[in-house]
Amino acid sequence: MNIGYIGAGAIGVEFARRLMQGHHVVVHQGAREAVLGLEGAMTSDDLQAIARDNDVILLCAPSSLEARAQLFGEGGLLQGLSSGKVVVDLTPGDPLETREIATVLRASGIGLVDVALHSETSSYEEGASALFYSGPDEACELVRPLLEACCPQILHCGDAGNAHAMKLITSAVAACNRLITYECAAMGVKNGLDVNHMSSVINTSSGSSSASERILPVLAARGKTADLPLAQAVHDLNLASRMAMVHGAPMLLGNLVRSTLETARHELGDHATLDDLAQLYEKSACIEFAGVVQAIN
Amino acid sequence: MQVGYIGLGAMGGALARHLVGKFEVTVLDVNSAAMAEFERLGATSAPSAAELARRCDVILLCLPRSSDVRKVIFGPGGLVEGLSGGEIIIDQTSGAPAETREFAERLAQQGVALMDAPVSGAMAAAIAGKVSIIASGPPTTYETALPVLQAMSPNVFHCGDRIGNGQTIKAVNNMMNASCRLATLEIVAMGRKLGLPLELMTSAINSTTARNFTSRGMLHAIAEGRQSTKFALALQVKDANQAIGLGTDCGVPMPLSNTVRGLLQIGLNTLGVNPQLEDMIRLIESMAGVRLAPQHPAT
Repeated sequence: MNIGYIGAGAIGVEFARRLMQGHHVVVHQGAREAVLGLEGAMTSDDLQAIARDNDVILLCAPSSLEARAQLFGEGGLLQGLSSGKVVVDLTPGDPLETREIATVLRASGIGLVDVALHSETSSYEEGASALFYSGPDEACELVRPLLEACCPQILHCGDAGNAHAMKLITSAVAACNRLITYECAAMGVKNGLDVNHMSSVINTSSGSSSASERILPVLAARGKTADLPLAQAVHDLNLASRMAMVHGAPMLLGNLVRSTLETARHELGDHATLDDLAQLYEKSACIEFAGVVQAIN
Repeated sequence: MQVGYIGLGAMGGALARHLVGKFEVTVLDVNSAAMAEFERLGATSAPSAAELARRCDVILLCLPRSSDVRKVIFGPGGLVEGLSGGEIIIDQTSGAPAETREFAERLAQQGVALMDAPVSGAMAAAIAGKVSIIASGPPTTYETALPVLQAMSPNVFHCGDRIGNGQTIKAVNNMMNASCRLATLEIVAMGRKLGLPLELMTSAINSTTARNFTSRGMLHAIAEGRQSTKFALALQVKDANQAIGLGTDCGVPMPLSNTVRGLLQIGLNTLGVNPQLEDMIRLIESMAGVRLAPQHPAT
């Protein structure tokens, strides 16, 4: 397939790299990180030409705002797109915006397939990472092989906007799993428990989650379980929070998690990842997960 | 070895059953029908805790609260009136670690050892002899108790020498379970308001790091219109109170757990007479103004 790639997002660049192995990919020069990250790719600085010359446009803007600009702004993609083409939107988008964008494109016979990748690591592990996609049936069928080439676990989510929405759900629950693990493990350690004992018991019991299974066994050694930047997690939770407001859902725990992540991002800096959260929990409980037993009596 | 079992309720009864036939078992319970059932199985019953203590070398307790344990050990007609020194008491109550340690100290003065060995897992696992037993206590006590524990289940885990560690781990586990449960339900309810179907969300959650005990169990059950938990909400609130108390007593902020506790308390206060954990589903639904699944039985 002839694919045009626009955007600087790390996930988009990674996907474009994987697709280059089996398809003809043209990269828009507007995003320096993309050009640098995709050595050997053909490049072009003409958005409309990229749209005209390719069947599938892969777009990975930082947010829905920029995605709209790339599509509908002056000199944007829309001028070059025509009926039958498909836009694959990898932007971490606002589902409501995505649905509106899809409606506008549909009027010109262009299919929008929104795509979201849930992954805490740069390797996409089964049981931990999955790609969500949604949109009109024909467009989804057309791009499905491309998506399978990017991530082994894909899940069709229905109508346009659903994939972006699904990502907010999984991101929020995953963040809750992680913070619940840290909060309760901190209480255990302060009460004299060994993190490794907690790991063995909890991970064969009802308190287990993907977070406890990955975090507890390596927590004492400050092991790594994720390379997802905190900033990305904050972005997802902020969108989830906004969706909760728009649609009238309480999201008490989700918002508490959102605020904690936001605080953490400011305290720990822009390069902090999810694992760095452990430090904040150690500080707030005055403990070390590494096993200095703080016996109280 | 003469073994005594006090507390033949749902969990205690299921556990004690595994001891009959492997040891000489003496039982005691406020419910005489429960004791009669055990006599039919081959156990003997004691008229009081003191008398049971006179007959037994290893005594297990499985009672609702540590306050009940205190009464049975130290109250009128309690165990201490019959202990002679050298016995081991195994507390299987999901009790308060600090109180259990206090009991152990007092009993040590009489030359009697006390350790905790609460269980974690479903009733079905206890009945099948497969439940997890989370034991803590000094090595000599643990080694002596081990054959009795293993008679109830091979899944015995020793979590340190310090008495109360077993009960503490259980509190940590229960709080994580309750918190992940309410977080999952709350966020899935939001997803329903975004128009996402429950089964699709369940697949998405279970294929990613969002997966937890609730997404693997309860979410499927809700979609299929069946019940997945059978647990009094009052006991769930008690568990949450205990876990948070363990944090509060040593200065650990637990904002998520406290919010979860609040939601459970709201449920306990508003969901009618003797509400169940399962009823929290409809509380979350009502708070979000949405049904999680069309076929979910109306309660």
